[in-house]
Amino acid sequence: MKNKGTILIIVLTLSSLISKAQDEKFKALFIYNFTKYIEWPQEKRSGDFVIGVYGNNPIAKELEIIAQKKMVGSQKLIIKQVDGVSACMGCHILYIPENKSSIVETIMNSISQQGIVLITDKTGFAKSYSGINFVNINGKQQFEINKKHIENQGATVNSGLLSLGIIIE
Amino acid sequence: MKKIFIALLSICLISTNVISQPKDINSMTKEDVLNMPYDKLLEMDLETVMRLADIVGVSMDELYEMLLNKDVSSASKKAESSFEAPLSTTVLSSDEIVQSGARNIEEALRLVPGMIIREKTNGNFDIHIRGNDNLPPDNMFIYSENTMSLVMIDGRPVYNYVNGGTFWECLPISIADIDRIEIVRGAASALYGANAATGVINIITKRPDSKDLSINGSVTGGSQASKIANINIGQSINTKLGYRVSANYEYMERTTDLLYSLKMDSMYKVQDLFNEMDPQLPWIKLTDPGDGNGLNKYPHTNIARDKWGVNGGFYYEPNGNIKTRFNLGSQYSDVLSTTFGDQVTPLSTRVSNTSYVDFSGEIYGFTTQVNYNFGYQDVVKGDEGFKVDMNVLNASGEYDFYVKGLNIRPGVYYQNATYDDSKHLSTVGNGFLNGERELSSIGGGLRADYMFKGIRFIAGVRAEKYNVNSEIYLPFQLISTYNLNDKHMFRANYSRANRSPFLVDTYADFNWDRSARSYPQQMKFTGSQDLELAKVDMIEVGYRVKPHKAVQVDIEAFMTTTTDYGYLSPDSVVGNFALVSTTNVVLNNSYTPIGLPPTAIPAPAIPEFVNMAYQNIPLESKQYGVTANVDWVVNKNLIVKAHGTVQVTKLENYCPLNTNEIIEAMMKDAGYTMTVANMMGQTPPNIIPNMNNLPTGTSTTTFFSADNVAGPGVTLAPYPSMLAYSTTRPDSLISIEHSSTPSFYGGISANYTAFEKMNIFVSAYYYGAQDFKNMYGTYKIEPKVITNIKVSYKVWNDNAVFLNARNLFNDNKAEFAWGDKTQGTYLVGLDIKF
Repeated sequence: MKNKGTILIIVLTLSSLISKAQDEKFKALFIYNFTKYIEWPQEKRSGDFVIGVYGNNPIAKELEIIAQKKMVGSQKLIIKQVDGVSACMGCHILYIPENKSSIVETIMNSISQQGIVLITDKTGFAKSYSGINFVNINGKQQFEINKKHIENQGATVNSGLLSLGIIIE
Repeated sequence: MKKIFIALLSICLISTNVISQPKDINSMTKEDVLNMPYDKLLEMDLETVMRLADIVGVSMDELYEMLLNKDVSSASKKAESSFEAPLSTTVLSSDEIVQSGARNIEEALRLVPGMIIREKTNGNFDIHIRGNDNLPPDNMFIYSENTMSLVMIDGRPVYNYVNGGTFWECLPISIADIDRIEIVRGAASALYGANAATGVINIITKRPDSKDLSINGSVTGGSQASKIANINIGQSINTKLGYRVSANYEYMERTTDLLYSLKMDSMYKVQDLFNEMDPQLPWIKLTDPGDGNGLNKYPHTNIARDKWGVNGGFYYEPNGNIKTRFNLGSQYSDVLSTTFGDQVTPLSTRVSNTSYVDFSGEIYGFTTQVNYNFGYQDVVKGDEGFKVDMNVLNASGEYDFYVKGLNIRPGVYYQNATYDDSKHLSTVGNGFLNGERELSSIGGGLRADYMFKGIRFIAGVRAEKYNVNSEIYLPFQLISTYNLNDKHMFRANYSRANRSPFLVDTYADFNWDRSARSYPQQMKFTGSQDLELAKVDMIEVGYRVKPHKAVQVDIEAFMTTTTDYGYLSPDSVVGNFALVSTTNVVLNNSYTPIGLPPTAIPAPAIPEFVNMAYQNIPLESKQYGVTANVDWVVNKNLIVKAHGTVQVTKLENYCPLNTNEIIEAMMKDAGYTMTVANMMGQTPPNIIPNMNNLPTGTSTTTFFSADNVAGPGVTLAPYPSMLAYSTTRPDSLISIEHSSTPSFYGGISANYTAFEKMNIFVSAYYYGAQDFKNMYGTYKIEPKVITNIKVSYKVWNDNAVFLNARNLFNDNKAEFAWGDKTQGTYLVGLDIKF
C-alpha cells in the first residue's frame, strides 16, 4: 500500500512537471517567434540578442535550448536571468513571470526608450504595462499585444504579429 | 511473380511515402505535438506554433494559477498577484460571489478569512475584521458598531462620520456591479487614511471591456417575502469610451413583527410596547410619552430591509497613459437594525437617502480621485436629533516616481465632512449638532516600495491634521516580504493606524428631556473637540506557501494594541440630587394597589440631571490571533476553501461598570448610600401594582432649597466624576479577557461544477460562543453554524436558474445580542449573464 502511494506521488509529480514544462515550452517558442516580427532600434541590432527572464523561472531553461539552436537574425541569442531593475537594461526582451507581477509597474516606469520589449503573464497587463502579455483563453494559450507599449521602447512591430494577437489599445 | 514483386514494392514505396509525409496539423493529437522535436518546432512560423499550442492546450497549472492567484491592487495600490501581496489580503471574485448565492455584499464577506459576521435582522449584518467587537463594553448598542474598518467603493470611502462605522445598507451598489472585493486585514491607515484601523474592504466595480453590450444580474424571490433584483449593463462604445448603468432592489422581511423589550424580556407588538407601563415605576410608561403609540418610530416592524440603488459610470481612456472614470449614483434604504440611540428595544428604524459623484483619473503616473457624497441619514427614525443632512467631500492626488527599482509615491489628501441637523429639528437645541458642523482633514503621505533579489521593502507614512484636534496623526507601515522561491513567501508588517473624529463625539450638545420617564429627568450629552483618536498598533507576520501546485496556504499571526478609545460616560451629576425632597405621583386612573398609593416618595439620592461627556478612557485592548486559509483546486470542477481564526482579546485598564453603575458610584462618592439601582429600579414603598390594571399618571419632583441644605448663599456645584475611567480611581481598573469576540470563527466552501451546465456551491460559516455585555446586561451568543447551498443550472448560455438556501438547516439562534432569531431563507431565481 505504501509503495503504491509512493508510486502515485511520483507519477503525479512527474505528470505535473511534464504539464508545466509544456506551458513553458510553448511560451518560449512564442517568445522566440516574436523576435521575427519586431524590429529593435538601430543601436540594439548588433551584439548579442538578450532575452531576460525575471527571477528564477523554468521558461529560462526552454529558452536556453532554443538559444543553443537558433540566432536572432545575425545576433547571438543569450538568455539572462535578471533580478532587480538595473539588471534589465541590456535586454531586448524581458519576460516577467506571473509570480513577479508586482515588479512590472516599477520596471515599466524605469525602462523608457531602452529598446526593451516587456512580456508579461498576467490578465490585463498589456493594457497598462507590457507590449505582449500571455493570456489563457478558454484553455488555450494566446497573447495580447499593445503596439503603443512596444513603440514607446523605440521598437516597431510588424502587422503580421498584430494579426495573430489580441490587440489591446 | 515479377508482377507480384512490383506490386508489393509499389505498395511499400507508396506506404513509405505516405508515412514520411508530415502529418496534417489539423489531424494531430496532443501526443503528436508533445512528441515533436524542438528542431521541428523551431522551423515553424508563429501561426503554426499557435495552432499546435491550441492542440496541446494550457495545462492545469495555468488554471491553478488563475484560481489561486487573483489580482489584487488594494494591498499596495498597484496590481499584483495575491501571492505576492505584502499585506493579509483576500480577493473575492464576481463569479465566486454569484456562485455562492450570497444575497448581498455583506453576506458574501462570510467567505473571507478573518471576518466576524452576524446577522442582526434578516439581511442586515454586523461585520468586524478580526474582532475588537463591542469596545468599550457596558455602553449603548452604538459601541458594538465597527468603527475601525474602512469600506470603500472603487476607493471612495462610504463611512458614517456622524457616529463612526458603516451603514452597509447605504451602499448604492449590489452584487451585480462588482468585479471583485479586495479585503485587507490589519492596520492600513498609511495607505488609506483614518478608519482603516482593523482593515479595508475595497469593492471594485466592473468596467466595460467589450464593444458588445454586456448584461448581468439576477432576480430572486423566496421565503420571508424576499425579493432581490439587480442588473448591470455595460459597453465600450469604442476603444476610448465606455459606459455602465446599474440598478438594484432588495426587500426582506423579519422573522417576526414583534419588538423585544430590554426591560421586560418579552416580545411586543409595537403599540403594546408603547402603552406598556414600567413595572418598577408603574405610574409612567416604559417609553417616552412623546413617542405616542410608537408607529412613527416603527412604521413597519415586519420589514428588515427595504432598499434600492441606481448607478452610472462613464469611462474615458484616450490612450494608455490616461485612464479616467466618472461614476454617480443614488440610494434609498429603510432598515430595522440595532439602534444608535438608547431605546426600550434593541432595534430602531434607519432611513437614508444619499447620492454620490466620483471622479478618478490616472494620468501619466498621477492618480487623482475626487468625490462628493450627499443626502440625508435618519439614524433613529422618530427620535428628534438623529436626522442629519450630510455633505462629504474627499479629494486625493498621488504620483508615482520610479528611480531604478525604487517606487516612491507621494500623495496629498483632503476631506471635508459637513453634517447639519437643524432643518430637521422642531427647535434648534433639541439636536446633537444643532446646526451645521464640520470635520475636515488635510494630509500628506509618502510611500516607498523597493524590491531587491526577492526581498521587498515597503515604508509608508501619512500625516493628517484635523480641524478639531491639535495633534498631527502619523499612521505608518513598515513591511518586508521575502520570496524564498515561487512556493514560499514570508512577510512581516509593523503598522499604526487611527480612527477619525466623529461629529457627535466632537460636537454633541444635546439635552434629553426625560420628563415623565424614569430618572434622571434630564440628561445632557456633551462632545469634545480635544478627543484623542483611537489608535491601533499592529505587528503581523505572514507565510504563504504552495505545498502543491493545486494548494495555497496562507497563515497570518497578528498582535494588536488599541488605545485612546473614545467613550460616552457620565461626567458629572448636577448636585440637586441632594435637594430632592419628594416625588409626587398623580394617577390618572384608578387601580387596586396592594398597599398604599404612591402619593409621595422620599427620594434624596435620585440624580435629577446627569451630564454625559464624550471622553477618552485609559482602556487598552490587546489582541492576539492566528488566521489560516487554505485554497485547494481539487480538479477543474471542484475548488475547496477553508479558513479559520483563533484569537484572544485582553482588556487592560478596564472599568467594569456600566453607565448606571457609574452614576451610582458617583453618588456613593458624594456620600449617599442609596444606590441608583435602588432608586431607579425599586418599586415605590408599599406598592405592588395589579398588573392587570396598570396605573398611568405623571410624577413631579419637589426640591429642598439649596439654602436649607447648604446654608444661605451657598451654590451647590455639579458633582464631578471621580471614578471609573479616572486616574483618581486606579483601583477600579482591572484586566480581563474580553469575550465579545468569539475565540474561533471561520468557514468552509466547496464550489463544484457537476457538469458544464450545473454548479453547486456549498458553504458553512461558524463562530464560537460569545458574551456580549452592554449597559442593558449580558447576552450569551451561542455557537452557530450557518450552512448555505446554491444549485444553479444554465438553461441558455450563461443564464441559469437556481435554488438557493441560506441557513439551510434553519438554525434560529440569534446571532447578535438581543437581535432577531434569524431563520433559514429559501430562494429561487434566475442569474442573467449575456
